[in-house]
Amino acid sequence: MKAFPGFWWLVIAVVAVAALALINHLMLLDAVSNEAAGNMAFAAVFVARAELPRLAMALVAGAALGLASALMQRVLRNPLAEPATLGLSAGAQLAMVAATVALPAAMAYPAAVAFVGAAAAAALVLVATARRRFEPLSVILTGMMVSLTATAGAAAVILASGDYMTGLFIWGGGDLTQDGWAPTLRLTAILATTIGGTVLALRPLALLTLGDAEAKAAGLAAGTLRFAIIALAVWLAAATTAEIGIVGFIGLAAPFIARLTGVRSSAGRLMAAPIAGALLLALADGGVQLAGHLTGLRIPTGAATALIGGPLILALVPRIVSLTRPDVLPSAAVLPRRSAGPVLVTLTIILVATIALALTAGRGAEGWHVDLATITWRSARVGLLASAGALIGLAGTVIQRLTGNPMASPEVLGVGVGAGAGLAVILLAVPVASLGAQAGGMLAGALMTLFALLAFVRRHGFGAERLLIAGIALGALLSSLLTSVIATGSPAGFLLLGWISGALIEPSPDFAVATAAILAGLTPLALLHARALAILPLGETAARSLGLATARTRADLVLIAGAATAASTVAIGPMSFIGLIAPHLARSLGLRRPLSHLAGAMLAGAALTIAADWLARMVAFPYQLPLGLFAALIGGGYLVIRFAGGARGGP
Amino acid sequence: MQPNRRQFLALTAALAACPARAAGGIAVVDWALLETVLALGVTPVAAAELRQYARVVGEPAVPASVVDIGLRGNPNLELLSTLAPDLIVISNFYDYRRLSSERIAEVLSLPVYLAGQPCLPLLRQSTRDLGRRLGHADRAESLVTALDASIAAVRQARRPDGRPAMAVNLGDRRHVRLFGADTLFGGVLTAAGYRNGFADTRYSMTAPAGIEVLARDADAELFVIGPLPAGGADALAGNALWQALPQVAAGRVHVLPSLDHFGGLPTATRFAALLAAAGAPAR
Repeated sequence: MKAFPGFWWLVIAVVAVAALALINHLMLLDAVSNEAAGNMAFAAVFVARAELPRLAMALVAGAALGLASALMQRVLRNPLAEPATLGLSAGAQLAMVAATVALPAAMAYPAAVAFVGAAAAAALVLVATARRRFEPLSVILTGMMVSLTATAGAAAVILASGDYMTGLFIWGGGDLTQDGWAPTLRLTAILATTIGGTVLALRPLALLTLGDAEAKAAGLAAGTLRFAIIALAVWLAAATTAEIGIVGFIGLAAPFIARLTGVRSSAGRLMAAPIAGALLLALADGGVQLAGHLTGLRIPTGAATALIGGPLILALVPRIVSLTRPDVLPSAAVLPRRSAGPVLVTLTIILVATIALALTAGRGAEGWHVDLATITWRSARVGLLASAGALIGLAGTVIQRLTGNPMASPEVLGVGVGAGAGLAVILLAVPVASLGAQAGGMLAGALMTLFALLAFVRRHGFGAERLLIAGIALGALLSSLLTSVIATGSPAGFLLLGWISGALIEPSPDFAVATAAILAGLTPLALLHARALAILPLGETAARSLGLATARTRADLVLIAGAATAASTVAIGPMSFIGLIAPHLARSLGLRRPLSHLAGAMLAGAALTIAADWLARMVAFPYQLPLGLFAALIGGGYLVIRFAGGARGGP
Repeated sequence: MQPNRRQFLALTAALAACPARAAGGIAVVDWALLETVLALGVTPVAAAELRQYARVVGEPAVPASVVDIGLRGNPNLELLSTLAPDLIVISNFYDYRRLSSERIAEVLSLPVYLAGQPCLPLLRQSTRDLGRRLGHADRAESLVTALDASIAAVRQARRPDGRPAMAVNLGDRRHVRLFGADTLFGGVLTAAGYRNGFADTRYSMTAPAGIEVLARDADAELFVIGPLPAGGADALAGNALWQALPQVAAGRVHVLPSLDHFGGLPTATRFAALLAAAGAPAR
């Protein structure tokens, strides 16, 4: 019998999984047993009810993620689609958290609750990107935003219910530990059903690849089929999240590996993906357990899989035929054009009013009050927030114009989490690092991320899509490192957590002045590039024919945006949506020229940041909630409203 | 939305009402020192994270007059400044925020837990320092004496058989936090004549150790310190893994109520009393 393609890979992977399981088993027995008979009895129960179900769960959940992603990738024709990048996992998580707090009875059916959340996230992403015909890049960016908003929402629900610590640790990532067989069996049943559905859909799916017209001629309702398959994939992804939490990137890797093994037929690939996923998750989880035995650290499996996800996205980029659809018109054409003056004056008035409110109004021991005396306490804080908000608005405008994509934002460049990685290194090396050393570490981390990004993009030609994808990949990689440090729960992890969630502690006036100085330095630099910012959105060809040395110009602009992002991230943390929505807001108000767009986005960014912080301090007074949470909720809310409006109005 | 007349009047009234400024008194940010201050018979004007304190520490109840100033790691200094205390008591955990607190009042920082150092001598010293600063040196001394007496009671209650003990807190059904030699519980166990099953503390917000570490010392007395994870004692009863632990199978598990894991001398005294009640060998 001739070995099928990928046979030897399969053998190697199975052997590796088995070897890891065996090593872990022996190390466990070694740790647990001495001569006492009671210990051996415990070890037997542990193997039967914790160790074996965990291995089985890794295989089943990996297969489920692999199959769900392979289906979504096929239907959306998007090699980056998977439950985590589409926001399905985070949507499911939010639904479960909300149900646990508000409707505990519903949690008797966790998979159903998770499905509601995942389906809502999927609907949101698909409705929002329908007008761009599910262009891969837009789908991924929208999915990322939905994901961040849902995570922030879940944290908000838990914080509001009063469990501050647990709430923040919700970012810990997926966990595969088991204490019985029930969850594994539940997921296996759903996986089997989905496999059945997939087998039934194989033939129609093959027809679909011929094109919608041909499929229709053969008597196939293409839309209905797509809808049914997406629903099936969402159900499977939701059930997986319900059992083990968020485990990203397995779904991304599995279909990719299936293709690499040389399986030719599309049906074969669809069936190879769950096998690859099962082995991959079992390997990752075995590695995590081994690391736990060796170091005593408990790393969530979800964080470990994200570690392989970043490099994987980078490897996938060259294989993607088209990330964007050139036939999709930029939506700028339908926006109203107003004269800039009145709009900018209005935005300035709003900013001044916000500052006045944030300086004087609030809650005290006696309830709500307006008090001029609080100005002494708040001026440094409000000053810092205004500068940081303006910086992130500037960075957002530059990046959106640079990439010609209104869904791009400084957050996706990975610079924010790069700063966090720098902070993590400093905190791990010097546990009692001064604030200055911490800020230095963050700046170094941000700059190194930026240079890595530039080097990668330069090697592969300076395309806007490449920049975004590389940023997402770097971000995923670095944030999994951060999650691992936070999951240790050490003092360093605790400080990092506070910073990541944007829990701003009382800033010193010096800090505010330094941030304002950076703003004052970067603004003229950005304004100098006004011509390039006007031309670059028109595309590479137009820019070249107008005499712009685009690679050089783009690199300069990326540096400006990166420096602005780094400075604002040091001040207010990386979890802000403000870099996305401030430029969006300014543009939809009719500010289309680069100068007025920049100015409007900076004013809006400052006002939004100050407002988010004020809310974060007032909602649960005297308990301060993380600023990043409110920024994400404001940003997510804005996007949802925009999309709902856009879907109604049509193109 | 146009504000109506009633809202306008309410706003004017709010503007007119200047927040009343109570003068003097002390504010406490650290929980170990808060319970010490209360045990010294002093009622602070303000303290941090009182909602969670009521859940974890519980007794004695904090008087209703004490104003909650928010999170321990990030107290609301603006609110604290309107209360105008004379003295702000913090512990070494919050030293990094000392500077901003000093804008409001004198700050007294006392150590309550230092990794790697025995905890009880540290707490005894901090309690005495706090008592002296608040003018209640005699009461501080009696807190120290009370702890010594309750530890002596544990020594008397248990047979000196050299059996080890483990103090743990359950993070979830599968993970635990371990209290080593440098913790309050580890210190009391050692002082009471037990050999602590864990030399090293493994404590973090996410419980860092798998439940299987408990099986290492099958002979140990197992003290489970509250709060219990979701589902409480019922979930433990239905958990086959938990039931299979050698200590559970042999009935050497004592589930204790919630105690502040980084508490002060009153918590240590309460823990010793619980040990005396539970640890008396009834085998």
